[in-house]
Amino acid sequence: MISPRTTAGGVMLRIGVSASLFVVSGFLITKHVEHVQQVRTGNVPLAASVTSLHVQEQRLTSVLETQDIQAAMNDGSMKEIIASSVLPKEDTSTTVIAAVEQMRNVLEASGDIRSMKPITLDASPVAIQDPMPATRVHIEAVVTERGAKEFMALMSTLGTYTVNDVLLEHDRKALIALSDAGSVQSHSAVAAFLALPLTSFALDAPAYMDRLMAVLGAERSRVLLQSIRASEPLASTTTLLAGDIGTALQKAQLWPLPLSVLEQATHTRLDDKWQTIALHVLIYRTEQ
Amino acid sequence: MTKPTNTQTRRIWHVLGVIAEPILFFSGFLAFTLLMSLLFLLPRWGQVRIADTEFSPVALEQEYTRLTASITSLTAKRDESLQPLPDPIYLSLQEKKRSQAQVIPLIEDLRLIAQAAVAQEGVIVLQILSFDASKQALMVTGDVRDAGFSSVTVLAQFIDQLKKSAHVESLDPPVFERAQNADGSVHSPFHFTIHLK
Repeated sequence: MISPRTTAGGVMLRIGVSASLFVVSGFLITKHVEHVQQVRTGNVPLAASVTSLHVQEQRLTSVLETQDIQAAMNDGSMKEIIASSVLPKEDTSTTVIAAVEQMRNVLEASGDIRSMKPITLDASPVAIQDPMPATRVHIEAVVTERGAKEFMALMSTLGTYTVNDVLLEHDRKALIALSDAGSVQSHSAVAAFLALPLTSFALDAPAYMDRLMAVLGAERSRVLLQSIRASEPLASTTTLLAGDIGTALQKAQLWPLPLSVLEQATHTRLDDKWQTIALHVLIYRTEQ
Repeated sequence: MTKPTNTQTRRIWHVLGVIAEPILFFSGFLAFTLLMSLLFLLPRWGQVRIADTEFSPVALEQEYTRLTASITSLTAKRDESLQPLPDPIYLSLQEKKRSQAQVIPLIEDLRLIAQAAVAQEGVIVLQILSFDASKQALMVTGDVRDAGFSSVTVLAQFIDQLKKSAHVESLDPPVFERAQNADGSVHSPFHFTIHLK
């Protein structure tokens, strides 16, 4: 028989241990609640993000694979053209002079040029901040407003070859973003559009735009494609290449032209019809 | 209130003695079960299955970080593959050309606004347009003629309209002055600079 004093001590001990275990259980229940809350508020949205990121990763991988295959199929040709004509090793200022001469012939035929000073070359080094060696060309002519526009369009066309070259950065990004929201085919279509030679695009710009719109979805892409079509320098380049000057340049095998950047352009009004246009252009090459 | 008697105290202790043991077992069992659940059950319950792979909450966060980095790298590769010649100098020169080309629509805007500013043609005469590519600026020199004493008003309206052009970043305004020709007629010569977008 246990004495009442021992019994009381034993009972107190058991009740004390039980109370401690209840406190521990309470703590463990709190941990459970926290875990459930974390899963609900953290993991569920994260899992949704991971799922969509997985899809995006797979999509980008397949887009790159497709582009690699396309690049392997026509590899070399575009880079070769750019290396030989757009950014050549040697000085190709004579090609630009020949292109200006072709333009002069066309403008003379349309009565948009009255006279032209001899084109001069200046091989003195250009500004230090320039990334490559360049030759400075001075062009001066008396032209109509249309003639001046054509000269400016030719200057912005020098050194461009594909649609990508004349697309503004924000338009290019918007186009890629649009293809991101579409299928893998839309990526291929945008890639093909960007790599399209400007001479081909100029021949039938609406057809190329319609084809791209059909792949990207007319509703989503119409506004963007219309704005791209009207944007500069794409609009003036397309008009120039689709016209007599573009035909003359291609006939004389002067396309694509060397990469050149306008340094200065001055239009001076002579009378209601004529103005003098003076252009300073830098023609780049890769070797000194 | 009366104090509990000795017999009542014994009864209470007896009851407590009877229930203390089950309570101890129950609390022990509860704590043990919750501990086991926390250690082995909950981590499994929090796992997520994505594309046939189980992810614990920690692994899920790691996967999220990996995917974000992978997508950034793949996007850069994709963007590069869309460039015909992904050479930084070539690309920067092309970018320079594209920004310069904005002078073409600006000159077009300038002529249209000059024509539309007044009903009569040839009132705003643009004499010299000089584009400096290094500054991305177009210097405009001209004159407002045959507008009588409102030549300065015409010039101010022309400048206001020009500022609204989508190709104009900012405009250094001209000096608004009225000059007199030898024949007594009034005109407002102007010179201002437009900074392109």
